[in-house]
This record gives sequence, structure tokens and C-alpha cells, in this order.
Amino acid sequence: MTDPGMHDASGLTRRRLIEFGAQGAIGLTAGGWLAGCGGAKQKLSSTATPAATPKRGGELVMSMITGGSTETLVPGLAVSEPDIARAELLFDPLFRLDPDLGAAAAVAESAEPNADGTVWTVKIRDGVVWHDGKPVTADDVVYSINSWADKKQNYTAATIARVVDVKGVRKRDARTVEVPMRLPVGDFPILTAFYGFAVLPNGATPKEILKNPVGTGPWKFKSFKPGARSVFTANKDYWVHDGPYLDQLTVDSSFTEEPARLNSLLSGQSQVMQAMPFALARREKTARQIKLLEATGTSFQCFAMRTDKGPLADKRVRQALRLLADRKAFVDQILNGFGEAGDDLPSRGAKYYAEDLKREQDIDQAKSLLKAAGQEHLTVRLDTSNVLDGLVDASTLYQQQAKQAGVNVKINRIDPGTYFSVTPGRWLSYPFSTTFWVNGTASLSLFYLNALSKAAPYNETGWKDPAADKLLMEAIGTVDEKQAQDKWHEVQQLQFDEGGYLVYANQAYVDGLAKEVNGLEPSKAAWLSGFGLHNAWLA
Amino acid sequence: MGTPIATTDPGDRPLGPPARTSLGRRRPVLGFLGRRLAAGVATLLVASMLIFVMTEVLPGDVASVVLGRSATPESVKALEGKLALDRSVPERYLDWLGGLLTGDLGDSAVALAQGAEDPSVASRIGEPMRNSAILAGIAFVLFVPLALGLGVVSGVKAGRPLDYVLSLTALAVNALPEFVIATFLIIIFFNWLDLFPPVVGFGPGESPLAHTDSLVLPVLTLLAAAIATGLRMVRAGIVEVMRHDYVAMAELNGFSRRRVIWRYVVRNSMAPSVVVIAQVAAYLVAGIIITENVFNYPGIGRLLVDAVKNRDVSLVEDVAMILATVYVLVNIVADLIVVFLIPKLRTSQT
Repeated sequence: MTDPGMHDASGLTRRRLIEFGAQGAIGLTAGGWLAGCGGAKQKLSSTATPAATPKRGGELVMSMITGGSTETLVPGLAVSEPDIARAELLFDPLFRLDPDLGAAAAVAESAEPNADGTVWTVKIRDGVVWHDGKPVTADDVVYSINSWADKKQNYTAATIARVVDVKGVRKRDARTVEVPMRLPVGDFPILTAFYGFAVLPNGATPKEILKNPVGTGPWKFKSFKPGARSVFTANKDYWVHDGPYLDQLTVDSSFTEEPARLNSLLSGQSQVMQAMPFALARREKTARQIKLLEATGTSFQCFAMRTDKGPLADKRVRQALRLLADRKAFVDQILNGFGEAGDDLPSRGAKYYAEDLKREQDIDQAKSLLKAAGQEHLTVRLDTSNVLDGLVDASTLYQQQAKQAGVNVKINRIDPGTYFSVTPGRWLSYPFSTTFWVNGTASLSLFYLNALSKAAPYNETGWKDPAADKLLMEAIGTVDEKQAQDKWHEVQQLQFDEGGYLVYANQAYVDGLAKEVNGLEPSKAAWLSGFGLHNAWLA
Repeated sequence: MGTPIATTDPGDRPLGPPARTSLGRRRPVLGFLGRRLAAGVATLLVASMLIFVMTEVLPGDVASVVLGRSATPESVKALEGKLALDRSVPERYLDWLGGLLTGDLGDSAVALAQGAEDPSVASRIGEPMRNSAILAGIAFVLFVPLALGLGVVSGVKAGRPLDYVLSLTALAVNALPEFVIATFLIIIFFNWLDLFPPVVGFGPGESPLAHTDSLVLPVLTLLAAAIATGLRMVRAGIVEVMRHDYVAMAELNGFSRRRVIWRYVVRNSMAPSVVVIAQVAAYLVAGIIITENVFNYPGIGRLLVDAVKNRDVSLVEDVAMILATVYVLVNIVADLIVVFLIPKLRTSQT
């Protein structure tokens, strides 16, 4: 279940479009958004202001913090936000996340399981064509699934090989593909609703994609220079409302400084500022020069505690450290209010998230747990880095909070360039560290496979309990929704009681928009209404 | 010539080290140039070692940083092979140095990791270098007459209200780092007057000269910082010369004040001014790094920051070396100009 607040009539607890127009008509705008929201659940094509008819034509420049010369066009190798944006613009997965984190059909029209979820049959949407005009066929999809799992390519989608029997994927007819599973899978669509699972043309290699990316996405490739600019033209054959309303879209990923990006937006050189830093967004809320697009989804900030070795291997100590955190303080001070308190469980907001498991600061209980563990005067090193703005501040804040129970947290700052390097002494070997998850959090199955199972490639907390793995696979494999809910609750209860994540907050997606930009509604899936931008139009 | 300082000593000096005197005696300027070039080469050699060692000690191992969050042991190993990271530091240093001398800048680590068709550093630095040269060049061309003009005015009017205004403004601006100057300029020229864009609005492949409005604020930032330094030094030179007896003599001889200032004072204060101008030109090499990042200007400074962030070591080393070379060359040229301005130096063995 998602947050009950999501389902109340106003819906405004989690998703807000804050517009400061000339009239400052906040109430009016919110009403307008709500009217637009009804349609959002069925398809991706609703607009924020239903009263206005979208206008076709025009160009838009989106500014992003640079990924530098390492930027790429290959969806499976996307690391930086500009990479991810381009993957979403050029390509489509089989399913895309809708604004409420459901899996909306994209290249796939539908996917149906057999009775026990061991074989999924994927039907390709009729009339989906590549940017070169050729139709998408079952061969393309079979190739794509194989390439996701191809060890040589090192794609981020490789996790799929743990659930899909890749070798057994076969074409049934021109538009139908059979996907056999290695274990029962209850919800295949949500598992693949992720930019890394982009559908590629049959035989496309990373080298070819880098040279001339041919996708099915809303935008066609025009030019690309890493760390500088990429230009796209509207794909008029797109399957949503005859393609984007705009004619051209430029991703300017040359920015190293946030104030320069804001200046670019204010001066009209760009119209969209993806991922505004919270402090700037807070200021712009009162400055009222631009619109803010704001939604809290499943992206979260946390501390990762190693559960298998080191000072925090004792679960009583981990529970104590979790109880020391005052989560509201994190939201107020680190996120400037752009987010929600966390409860130590990843992916709040995703389907089957255990909303009833709550944790509040409790210094006394923390002290007694530490005493029981013989760690009353615990001193622990916290590895941290400003890989994301505010993470070091969050560490300092936690240091202050932990002092109340006599726990001495020693902060160890690490250079952002190497913080996430997979080398000894760096990522995946920190005993206690700051981290965050932005992508791949909308599906519990995908996140737990990636980070919270024995063979997980990004197992930050060293979570390797065989019993927990068995439970996880059962949860992933449950087709019936009611039963799946119960299974996932068990999985999360275990994490809540013994896990290594101290999730202090879910952070919002906040974008800055020029006043003339319309059509984008807040989405819990990602920034900019899920990055597709085919709904954006200029007044 | 009429320059009192020109106590020309036309005769060859009989004393001096024999090995150099033959050239030095016949062509003293060439001898001087030779010695300056030799010193320059030595400086660059030391710089090259420092640059190489510095990039070596950057935290994190290059291959895994370049490959990023998706690095695998195999891909790390493959890239380390391509970058020859398995070889010793002195070996790699000599390789790199040898390449530089033959004009081969090597390959960018990042481009290799991506399997780019042309991974050479050379293919990556052309456009940023041109852009930076345009930015620094315009700033420099505007700087020389402005700094000299304002410095002379300030020096001649030393102690008068105009001098106070100019000197104090220069002192204040001089105390501000570039990004603060840039911020002030943005507030004035964009937020208040809405005259010029606060960030660069052109992309790769385009010339900054086709977007002159984008150039205004970056140039002004560099110019403000440069003039603040230049003006004060030129003024000091003028004030110094004004104190000399020959200036008073010239005035007493009935030469007009204008003639005294331009032919005696300015001419004789030129040598230190040239040194200052050279220093400022050298400053521009460093100043563009910050200015480019503030205005998001696609030049060598931004390339350098990006390369350091991505541990593109060969690119960092090459760019740093190019900047060091420009720095040394500017200083040699300045020395030569000084020699030509002061005839005494032209013939004596400095």
C-alpha cells in the first residue's frame, strides 16, 4: 500500500504543483492539477492545466548538472542524470512508470503471467515504430532482453538475469514474446519499468547506439556532445498524441555550478531546470520568478550500516543507531522541507510498501539497547561525501543527534569523485556510510534484487541472510496481490527489525520551470514528469 | 631619443664568461633570449614533474573512477592495460614527456573507457582552447590601454581626488575574488539592467564571436580583476619616475607638462609596466578557470575542472602543461619587450 495520504481527496500531501503566477493563484492551480490527475492514471498524456489546449511548436532548453566527458547515450550504461534523461527521451522500456508509480504500457501493450508467474507473455503495442520508421518486432524485444543480461555489456539492467531465464526468451509471433522466469515473478511490468531496460533495435551494440541512437522514444536524435549539449527533434510517429508538442528539445548538460543554471533559467536561455537544489528551490518559492514542479516519490537518502561485519554487525547496535535519528529534523534542515520523514525502509511509495512500520526517535530505548550490547560508549566512524548536496550536512546533523545517547560519531569525509568507486576501502565496503537512491526504487522487487539480497550487485549493507533471501523470492513470485502484500510485509518487517538501512527521509523531485512552460504534472516517478517531456508545451 | 636614462654604452664589454661572450658580445639580445629560453625549459621540466606527481596522488584509482559506478573487475583491468597503469611511474612519466616533445598528447582515459573512435586528447582540447584564447585575448587587448591610461592619469594626479577615486576603487576590486566580481556584474547587468545574459548561451561547435552578448560579462569580470592590479602598478611606476630630478629639470627647462609626461615619465615607467602587463597576462591564464565556471563558458578552464573531477589524468596533465607553457612564454616575451624598451639592457650582459 502506498501512503494513505496519497488517496485522500486532496492528494496534496505528497504531490504539489506550486505555481506563482501573476495572481499567485495557488488554490486555483492545485484544483487544475487535480482535474488533470484523473486522467494521469490511465495514460501519460494528461496536462496540468486542462482548461488550456496544448500548443504545438517551439523549442525548449533543459539545463542539467554535467556528467562531464563520461556522459553517454547508451541507456544501459547511463550513470549521470543527463544520461538517464537522454535514455528516457530517446528510448522506451516495455513499461514506463506513471505519475503514481504504476507500470503504464509503453512499447509493450500488455504482459500476462501464466498461473504461477513462471512465464510472462509480452504483447508489443501495435504501430510502435523505430525512429527510422521500421516497426518494432518480437525479434527486437528478444534481442533487448538478451542484451540487458549480456555480461560483456555491463548494463545496469543485468539484474534481470536473476529472475528471467534469458536464454529461454523466445518470439511467439511478430508481436508476441514469451519470457520464461527462473523463479515465479508476480509483477514483471513494474520490474522493467526503468530506463535501464530500454528496448533496443535487434543487434544494436553500445558503439552503434553511441553513434546513432535509434529508439522508439518521444524524441529523435540530432546531435550529442558529452558534457555539453544534446539536441533532439520531435518524433511525430510517437504513440502518444502524435509525438511531443514541441519541435525541438536541447539538453544542456554543461553546467558545473547551480547558480549558473538558475541564472540561465531566469535569463530565458533555458526554460527547464531539472533537479533544483532544495535551498535554491526554497528561495525561489518566495522569489516567485519561476514555477516549481514538485513531487515526493520513492527516492531516498539514508545511512547504510554493514550487517555482516564490523562494529554494527550486532543488530541491537543497528536498532539503537536507528532510534537516535530525529527524522523530521532531516526533512526540515537537510531537505528544506522538500521531502518526507523516512522509517528505515527503502522505497516508500512503491507498491506493497509497508506503510504501517513507523519509527520515531527514542533515546532511552537506544541507550538500553546499547547497554545490552555492551556498547554504551560506542564510537563509530561515518564515511560521507557530498556526492549529493547535503549529505555531509546530514552526517553532521546525525552526529549531533547521536551525542544525546553518548554515541560518538566520527565523520570521515571522502572525495566525491571516488566515493562510489567499487574498490577496496570505498563503496560496498564502508562499515557505516551515507548514501542515497534515486533510480530503481519504484519497484520493491527491483530494489531488493539490486541492494538487499545475497547476490545483489549493490549490497551496501552486506545483507546476506539465506532465510531472508528465500522470503524475498517468495514475495517477488507471488502473483495474487493480497498474498503479495502479506509476503512483502514480512520481507520489510525483517528489514525494519534487523536491516542495515537507516532511511531518514524520502527526498522530493523538484524542478524549476519558466512561466511559459506548461503541460508537465508532478510525477512520483522522476523529475520533470518522468523525463519524457512529450507533454510539455509553450504558452 | 631624448630619454635621459638612455646612457647608452655602445662598446663591447671585455669581461664575461668566454663560452657565452662570443654570441653575447655580437648579439647580446640573442644571448639574453637563449638564457631566458633555457630557464623557461628548465621551469617547464620541473612543472611537468610536479603536474605528473600531483595527478598521481589524486585520490582513487583512475580506471575504476573513470569507469564509474558500473565498473567491473574485468573492465577496470582492461582500461588499466590501455592506460599502461601497470607500468612504473617514472616509465609513464618519460613516455608522457617524450610524447609531449613529439607533439603527441596521448589519449584521454575517459574516451578510452567509452571506446570513442578518436580518443586522442588533441581532438578534445582544440575548441575549448580557442574559446579560452578568445576570452582571454579580448580581455587582454582591452586591458592594456585601459590599465595604462588609468594608471598614468592616476599617477600624474597622485594625491588629487581623481587619484583617490581610481586607486581606492582598484584596491577594493583587487580585494575581491573573481566569482564575487562576477556576481556583482550579474546583479547589475542582468538582474537590474537586463542588458547581458548571466550565463553563456552557445553550444559546442559555435564560436563565441557569434555570441558577443555572452562574452560581455566574462570579459568584464576578467578585465575588472586585471585592471585593478594593473592600474595600481602602473600608477606606482609613474609616481616613482615623477620623483626623479630629470623630470623636474625638464619642467624647469620649459618643456610643456604634456611633453614631460609622455616623453619622459611614461617612457621611463614603461619597463615595470610591461612586467606588470605580463603578470596580468599570466594571471588571465589562471583567472579564466574560475570565470569560465561561473559563466559556464566552454573553455579550457571548464575542461580542466571536468577532467579533474572525472580523473581524466592524461587530459589534466596535458592541459596543465599547456597552461604552464603559455605562462612561461608570456613571461619570456615580456622580458624581451623590456629589453627592447631599455636600451641599456639591450647591450649589457644581464
